Amino acid sequence: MSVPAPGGPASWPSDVTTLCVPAHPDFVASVRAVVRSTAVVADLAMEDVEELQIAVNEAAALLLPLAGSTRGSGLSARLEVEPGRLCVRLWITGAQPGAAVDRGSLAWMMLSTLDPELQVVEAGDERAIEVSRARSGSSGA
Amino acid sequence: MSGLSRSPEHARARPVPEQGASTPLAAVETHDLWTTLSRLPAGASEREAVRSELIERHLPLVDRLARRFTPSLTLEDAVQVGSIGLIKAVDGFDPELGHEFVSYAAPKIIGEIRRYLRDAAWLVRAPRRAQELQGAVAQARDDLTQELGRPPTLSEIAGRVGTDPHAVVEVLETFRSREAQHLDHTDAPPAGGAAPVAALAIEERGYLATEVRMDLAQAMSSLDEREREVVRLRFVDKLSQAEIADRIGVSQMQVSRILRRSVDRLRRRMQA
Repeated sequence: MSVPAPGGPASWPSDVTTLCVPAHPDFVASVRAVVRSTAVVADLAMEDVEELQIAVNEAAALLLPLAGSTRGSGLSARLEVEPGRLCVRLWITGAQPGAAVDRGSLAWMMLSTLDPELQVVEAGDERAIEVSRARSGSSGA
Repeated sequence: MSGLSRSPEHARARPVPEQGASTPLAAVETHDLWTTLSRLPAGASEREAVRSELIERHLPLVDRLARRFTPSLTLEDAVQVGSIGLIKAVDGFDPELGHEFVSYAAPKIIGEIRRYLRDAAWLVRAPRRAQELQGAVAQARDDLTQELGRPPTLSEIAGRVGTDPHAVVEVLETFRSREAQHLDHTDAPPAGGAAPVAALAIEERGYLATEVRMDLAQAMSSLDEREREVVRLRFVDKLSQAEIADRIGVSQMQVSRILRRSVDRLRRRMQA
C-alpha cells in the first residue's frame, strides 16, 4: 500500500481524528504523539508542531484537575486537519458544577499566547479547550 | 580521576601518633581530619591536602557501591563516576551537623552513578537515525528559513535532508527524551534577582492570580538567564521563535529546545 506524500492535495475520507485516553497526565504524551503525526499531514513548520505540543500540555494541565475522580473518566481529543492548518480540541466530561478553567494560571497565560484565539467551552459537565495553528509564514497564520 | 589512587590501605586502621604540626596526614584519625578541614579557610594550602586525604580514604566506599551497578557499567566506569559523587560529598559535608559521613556520601555517590546510567541509557534508546538527523535537521531548518524568508514546512526540511517528514518530526521527541535528564538540574538563582524581575514582567501583564505569583517567581529562579529571557520574549513580548533566534543570536533549533526545556521545568516547579 503506498502512502501519499504529506502536504499534498487533501482527499481524505475524513479530516477528523478523535481519540480518548485516561484522564491522567501519564497519557498526555499519547495525545502529543498523535498531534505530531497529524502535523505531518498538515505539513506545518517545526515551530508550529513544537508549540502545538506545548499547547496540548498546558490545555491538559488546565482540564485534568476538573475531570473529577470518576473511574473511567477520559480526556478526549479531536484533531481537525487541512493543508497548512491543524485544530486540536481537548475536553473532559464529568466536571463538577461551577468548575472552571483557571484563567489566572501560568498554563492559561502560555496557552493564550500560543493561540490568542483559543476557545473555551464550559457547558454542562463538559470543559473543552480548542487551539489551532496555521502554518507559520502562510497567510492567516 | 588523576591524582586519586584507590589503595584500600588508606582505609585501614592506622596507629594514632601524637598529633602535631609535623604529623603526616596519613597518620591522622579521619574524625580529626574533618575537624581540621572545617577549620581551614577556603584557599588555605593545607586544606587541599586534607581534602585529598579524605577523598582517598573514602574511595573504598565508592568501590563497594559501584559494584552494585555492574554489569550495567564496567566497575572501572562506575568507580570513576562514583568518585565524582564522593568529591561532591566531601566538599558539601558539614561535620558539625553530627551526621556520619558515609550516610551522607552514599546517596550522593549512588546518585551520580544513576545519573550517568540514565544519560548512557538515552544514548542507547534514542534511535540512531534520529540522533544522526538532529544536526542535519537543525541545519536545514536554519538554511531554509534564510532562503525562504519564513519557517520551512516539515516536508521542505525532509526534502532538503533527504528523509521522510515523519522522521523530521520525531527529531522533536528525541530532543524531549534527551532533555529529560536536565530536569533535575537547577541552576542557582542569579545575583540581582533576575528571576523575580522576569516573573514580575509576566505578572504586570495581569495574567496571573495572586497565589500563582510567588510560585512563578520561585519557578523562574530554576531557569538560567538565557532560559528566562527566551520565556519572557515568547510569552510576554510574544515574539515568534524565529524572531527570538534573531534577537539573541542563536539558531531556531536552540530556541525551540530552550523554550521546551524551560516550559517543562516551570511546570514541574509549579507543581512541586
